[in-house]
Amino acid sequence: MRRLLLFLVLLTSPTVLPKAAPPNPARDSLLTLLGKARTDSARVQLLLDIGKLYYTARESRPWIDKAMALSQRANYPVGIANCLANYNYYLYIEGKYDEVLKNCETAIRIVQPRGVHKTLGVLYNYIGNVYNAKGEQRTALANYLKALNEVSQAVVPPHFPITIEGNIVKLYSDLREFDKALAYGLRVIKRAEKVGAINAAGYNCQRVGSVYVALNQYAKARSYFQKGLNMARQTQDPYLEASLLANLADIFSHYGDVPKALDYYDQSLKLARANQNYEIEMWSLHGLAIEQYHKKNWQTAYDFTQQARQIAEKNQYNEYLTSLYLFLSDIEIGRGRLDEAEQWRDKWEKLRTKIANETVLRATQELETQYQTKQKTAQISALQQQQQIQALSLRQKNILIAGLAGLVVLIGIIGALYYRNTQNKQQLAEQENQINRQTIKQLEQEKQLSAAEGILRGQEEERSRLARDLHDGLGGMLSGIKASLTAMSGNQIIPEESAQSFSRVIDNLETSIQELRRVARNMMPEALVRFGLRDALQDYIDYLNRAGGQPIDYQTFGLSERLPQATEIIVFRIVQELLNNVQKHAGASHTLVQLIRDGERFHLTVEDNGRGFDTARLAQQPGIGWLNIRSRVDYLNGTLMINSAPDKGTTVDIEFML
Amino acid sequence: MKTRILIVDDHPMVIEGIKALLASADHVEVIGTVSDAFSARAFLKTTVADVVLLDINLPDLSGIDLCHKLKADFPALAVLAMSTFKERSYITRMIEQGASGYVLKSVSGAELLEAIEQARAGRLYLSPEVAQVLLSGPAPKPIPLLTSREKEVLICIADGLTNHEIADKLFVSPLTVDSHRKNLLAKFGVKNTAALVKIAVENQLI
Repeated sequence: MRRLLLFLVLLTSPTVLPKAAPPNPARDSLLTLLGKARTDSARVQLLLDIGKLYYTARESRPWIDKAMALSQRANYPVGIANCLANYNYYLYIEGKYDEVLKNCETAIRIVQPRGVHKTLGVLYNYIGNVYNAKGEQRTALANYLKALNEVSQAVVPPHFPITIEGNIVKLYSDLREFDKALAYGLRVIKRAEKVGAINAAGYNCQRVGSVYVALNQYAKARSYFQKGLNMARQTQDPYLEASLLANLADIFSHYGDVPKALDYYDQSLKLARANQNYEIEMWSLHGLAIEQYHKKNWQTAYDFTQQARQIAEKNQYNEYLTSLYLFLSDIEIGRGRLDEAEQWRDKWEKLRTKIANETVLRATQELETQYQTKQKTAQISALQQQQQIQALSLRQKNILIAGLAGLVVLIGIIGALYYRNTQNKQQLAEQENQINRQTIKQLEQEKQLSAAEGILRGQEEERSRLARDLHDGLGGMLSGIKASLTAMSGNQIIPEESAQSFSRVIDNLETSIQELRRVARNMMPEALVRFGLRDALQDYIDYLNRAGGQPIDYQTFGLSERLPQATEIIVFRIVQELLNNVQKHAGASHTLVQLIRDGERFHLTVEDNGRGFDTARLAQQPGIGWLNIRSRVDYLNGTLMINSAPDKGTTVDIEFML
Repeated sequence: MKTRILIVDDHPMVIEGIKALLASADHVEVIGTVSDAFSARAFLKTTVADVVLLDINLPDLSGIDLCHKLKADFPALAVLAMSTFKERSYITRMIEQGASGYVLKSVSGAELLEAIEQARAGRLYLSPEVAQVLLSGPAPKPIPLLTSREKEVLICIADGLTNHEIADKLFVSPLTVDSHRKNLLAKFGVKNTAALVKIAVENQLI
C-alpha cells in the first residue's frame, strides 16, 4: 500500500544534545567551584558548564564569551575549540549552518592533532546535523559515524552516543539500508535502557518498529511499537505517544482488525489535536479515512480525508498531499462521482509533477554531493583503519553504481528524503510558518482592498450617473418649465396679485434649480470627468469663492496632464471634504489649496489660518469626515500629515505615489 | 430678413421652453429643432441657418466638439452655447472652439434675444453670470504662494542646513523635509537648491 512507503517517513528525532536541569542550584554550585578552581583549563570548563545550564542564547552566550576570552588569554587552544563547539548549539538552532561548519572546521584543526576525542565527537555530530538539515544524507551519515568513532574513544555522558546512534538509525532507514538501521537500532535501544535514557529508547523503538514494517515483519514491528508506547507514557511524551498510537493503528489495520485500528487512530487523533501535532493528526485522519473506505462509508471517508488534506495544504506536506489527492480520487470513484474523481486526479498529477521536478534537481545535487563525499571518505579511510568507515565507502561505491544504473529508483528514495528534509526544516524553523500566515493575511487584505476598490468604484459610477441625471435631466427640464412659464406670463393678461404670486413661483423654481445643481455638482461635477482634476477643482473653488465666505487660493504645478480617473475622483473628494471642514469649523480668513505633481509623486496641501484644533484629540476621536479622508488616503497608499494647534491654523499634507 | 435659428438640445421640454420664449419676437424664426449632433450636421447641410442654439450636453458628441466641427464646416454660422453649467472650464472651452456666446438656460426671453442679436452681429455675448465667473477668477500670481511648512524649510535651506538638520530642527522626519524640498523645486521650476535660494531672496520670500 502506498501509505507504507510514507510510513517510514513519520520519524522524528531530537538531533541535538538535550539540555540539562534548571539553572539556579546547579549554577550556584558551579560558581562555587569556579571560585575554587586552580587551573585556567578547569575554569574554562566550568564556565562552559554554567553556560550549558541556560536554554536561551542570550543568557548563555556571555558565559561562553567569558570562557573564550579566558582560553585566548591563557593560550589554551583546546578551550577555544570547546567554546566554538558550544557556540554551535545556538548557531545551529538559529539556522546559521555555514557558521557552524566554519566553527567546526577551525575547532577540528585545533583538537585533531591533540586527539581530544570528546570534542571531536561533538564537532562531527554538529557537522552531521548540519548536513542532515541541508538534506545531504550521506555526508551527514559519514560525519555521525565519525562522531561515534571519536566518542567511543573518550569518556562522555551516556546520552551522547545514544543521540548519535539514533541519528544514524534514522539516516540508514531513510536510505533504506534496513539491516544497518536495525543493527544500530537494536543496539541503541539496549544501551539507552541500560543507562535509563527511556525517552531516547522510546524514539528508537519507533524507528526500529518502522524498519520492521518496511521489512514486512509485522509481529516484530508491533512489539517494538508497543514497547515504545509504554516508554512514551512512562516519560510523559505526548508527541511520541500519539505517533506510536498511529503506528500501532496502522498495524491493526494491516491485520484487518478494524475495531482496534479505529480505536487507536481515535486515541492518536485526540492526543495529536490536544498537543497540536499536525502531522500526526493528519496521519490519524488518513488512517481513519482508509478504514471507512474499506467499509464503503464513502462520505465519512471523504470527510476525514478532507480534514487531513487541509492540514497537509496548510503545512505544505507536499509528498503526503499527493497521496491524499489520489485517495480522494479513489473515494469519488467509489461513490460514482467520476467528474470529481477526475479533478482530484488532475491535482495529484500536477503536484506530483511539481515535486518530481524539484526532486530531479535534488537528485542531481545529491549525486554531486555523493561524488564529493566519496572522494572525502576515500581519503579518511586511508588515514583511519575503521571497519565501519571503510564499509561505508565501499557501500557508497556500490550504491553509486546502483544509483546510476537505477535512476528511477533513486528518485523515489530522494522523494522520500526530500519529504524528510522538508519536515526537518519545518521542525527547526517554525517561523517560516508564521511568515506564510502573514503572507496569507496580507493577501487577504489585498483581496479586501480590491473588494473595497470595487465598492468605491461602484459608488462613484453611481454618483456620476445620478448627478448627470439630476443636473441634465431634471435641471434642464425645470429650466425649460421656467422658460415656458415666463413666456406664458408675458403672453397673458393677469391681474396684479396673480402676477406677483406668479413671479414668486418662478423665483422659487429658479431657486430649486440652483439647489438641484448644487447637489448634483457636489455629487459628481461634470467637469471632473470631462476636463480633469485641475479644472474641476478650479471650478469648485471658484464656486466657493463666489458663494461668499473667505477667499480660497488655488495653485497647481505639474498637472497639465490628467491622472487616472479613479485617482482624480478620490483627490477631488478629499479636497471637498477638507474644504468642507475648513468652512464648518475653522472660521479662517484665508485658505490655500495646492496640488503638486513631481514625476510619480503627488503632493496635496490644504492650509488655513483658522482656529485650529488639538491633534491629540483627533487621534482619539476622529469624526466621520476625517475617517473618510483617512480611508481615501490609505486607498491611495499615501501618507497623511496633519499639523494643527489651537489658534495656530491647520495644515493638511497628503502625499502618494502615482 | 428674419434670423433663422436652429435649436440643438436633447430635452424636448427645453426646446419647448425656448420656442415659447422666442415666440413673441418677430425678427427671429425657429426653423428647426434637433436632438443630437449628428442630426444637427445633417440639418445644416441641407438648410441654411444663421444662429445655432447649442446645448453642451448632447448624447452622441459633446457640444464643445460639435461647435468646433460646425465652425469648421460653416464659418459664417454663429453658435450660441447654452447650458446649465456655468463652470469656467466649460465656458473657456466653448469660447476657444469659436462659440459666439454662452448663455445659461435660465435666461429670460429678452436676454436670449439680445444674445441672438449680438451673435448675429458677430460679437461675443456672455450672460452676466457667465461673465462674472470668468472675471471673478483669481488673478494669476506672479510667484507661487508658500505654505507655512515650505516657508520653514526654505529658511532652513537658505541657512545651509542639511536635510537631517532641518528634520531635527522642525521635529519632522527627513523624508518629510525631502518632500517639501522637492515641492519647492517643482513650484519654482528650478533644478537645484542654489537656484531656489536665489529666487527666494530675489522675491523677498525669506
